Amino acid sequence: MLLFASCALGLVWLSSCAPEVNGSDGLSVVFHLDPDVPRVGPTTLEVRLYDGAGQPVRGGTLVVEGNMSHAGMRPSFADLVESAEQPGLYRGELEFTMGGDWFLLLEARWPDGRLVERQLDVPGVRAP
Amino acid sequence: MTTSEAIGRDPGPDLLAWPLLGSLLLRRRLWQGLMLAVSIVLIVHGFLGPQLAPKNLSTLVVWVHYRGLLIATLLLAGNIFCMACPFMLPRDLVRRFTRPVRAWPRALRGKVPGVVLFVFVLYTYELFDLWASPWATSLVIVLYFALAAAVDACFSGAPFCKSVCPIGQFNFVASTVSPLEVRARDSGTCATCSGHECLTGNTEREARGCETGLFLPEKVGNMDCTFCLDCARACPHDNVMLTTRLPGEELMDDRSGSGVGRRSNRGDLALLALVFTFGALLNAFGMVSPVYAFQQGLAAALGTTSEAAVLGVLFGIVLCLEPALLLGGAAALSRRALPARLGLWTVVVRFAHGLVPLGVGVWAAHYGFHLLTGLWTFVPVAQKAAADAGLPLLGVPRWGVGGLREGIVQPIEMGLLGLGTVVSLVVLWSIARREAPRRTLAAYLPWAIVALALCASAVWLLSQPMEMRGTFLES
Ligand code: SF4
Ligand code: SF4
Ligand SMILES: [Cu+2]
Repeated sequence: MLLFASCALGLVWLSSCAPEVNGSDGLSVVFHLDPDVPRVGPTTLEVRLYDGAGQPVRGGTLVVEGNMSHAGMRPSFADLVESAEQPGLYRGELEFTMGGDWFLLLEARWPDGRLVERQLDVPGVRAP
Repeated sequence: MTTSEAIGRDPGPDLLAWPLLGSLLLRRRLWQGLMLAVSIVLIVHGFLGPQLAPKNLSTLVVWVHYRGLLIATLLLAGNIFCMACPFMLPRDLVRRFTRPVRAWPRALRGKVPGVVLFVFVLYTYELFDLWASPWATSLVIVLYFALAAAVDACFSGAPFCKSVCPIGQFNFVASTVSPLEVRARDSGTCATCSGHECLTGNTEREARGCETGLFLPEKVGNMDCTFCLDCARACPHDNVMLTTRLPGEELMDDRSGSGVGRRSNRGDLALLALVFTFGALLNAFGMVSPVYAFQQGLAAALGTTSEAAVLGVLFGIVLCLEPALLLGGAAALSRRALPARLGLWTVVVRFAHGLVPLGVGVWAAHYGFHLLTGLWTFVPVAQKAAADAGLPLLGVPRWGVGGLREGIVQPIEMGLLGLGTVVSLVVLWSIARREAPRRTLAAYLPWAIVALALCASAVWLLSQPMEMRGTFLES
């Protein structure tokens, strides 16, 4: 259930039921991984976007790039698609190709053209 | 044909005489300058660029490309990276002012300082997860530059290369299986040479003599040779060549070589060879999945959560306890077949070099894996770095590029390991024949078993799922 999240420079530990990554732009991004103890293989990634007033943000374009903390590994990409039933919820599939420490880079483009970037650390992805 | 006859046989082709290649090889400063430029880019990007290892040139190029290319050139050519070593440029500059005359302290000669630093680097690499930290990687590069300049500013000769530099010691050991060697072309010319400029230098040509103290007519193999080719520039008779030879042959050769002496008299050289070989397994173990379970078990058994302590114990097990048991056992069994009554350590010193090719195989498999699977990953990172620096000359970053698939790389890894093991078995046989001409098989078998056991553990390691973690003690 609990994932370790950290902001840009890593090390801010949160303890909500899903990691929330806030930035100076007043927007918040909530990540959820399934399986929530990440392991090598395909992983469902859910991201919720909220604006400064706590309202879900619709119509964003979200791309996630997963990298290992060791250089030289091929990154994994996921395009997230907004859910029809739940506005502001974006879902996609990311492949963890190797065990170890990963971090995800989220690039979210707002309908009005703003770009928001967030980083989520995913330490200790289990080897198969 | 005995070993020494083999080494004294007809010289092969001289690469220095080849039209373009020869003059390129002799332009050490050009290569050093190029490497210096690359180092500066890495240092700057490591300190100022994104602190994400796969997005930073410092971590990427040092831990993926440099290490991989280093072992590849050692296997395919020779100690080219020492020849092109960028640390030498500031060091030579400082030397112009300090002109040291003091000799490196006797107690620190030999390989012990280099061995200690080599283990220290392996340890800090694991403890501080250097592979994951761009600024720490840049700091390591800066410290190398500083240490090289500081040591050689105070002492004459090249003590940094010969005794201190951990990369240099790694290269010296691995270059014993390189296919190229710097040597005198014709021993007759050397016999009538009075100046010995290859060792003493040639002021007329403004060429230094060999800074690591190798006198060409008495040089045996690649140990301590940085491929700098000072000797080739200095020799007034142009009697120095870069030529082909049988890789690994020098490991069976126990003649006394200039600047090195006899292998069988050099406990420190044997120590280096062993740390090199067992360190290869340790470094590979650090990135496979079982190491975390092992470390957690160790932490629980010791009742500690200190990573430094757990790593220390792990290093002790792999670099001290395991070699002591394996090598001590092999030495005890094999010495019964030797004609002279020798101490256990003396026997180990004689046979230790036979394990070097296996060690090279493990390093090559491991670093080859990183190089091949991440071959092109530097392209988008360089593109991004150029764009960030306001020079979008390299185009839009193409983040998807990687390298070869793991499925293709794994057979290559196993091939390198197999090759190293076979060469080790051959070298060990040749050492056994030299040490126990009458009971060769009995002297050989314990060592062959050690080599095969190490090979089996490496096969197991390389087939484990990779798991590269910064911390192993879960909260
Ligand atoms: S200077 Fe040249 S000829 Fe003289 S000993 Fe050295 S390599 Fe031989
Ligand atoms: S023998 Fe000495 S001078 Fe010649 S290439 Fe080797 S290290 Fe340089
Ligand atoms: Cu590795």
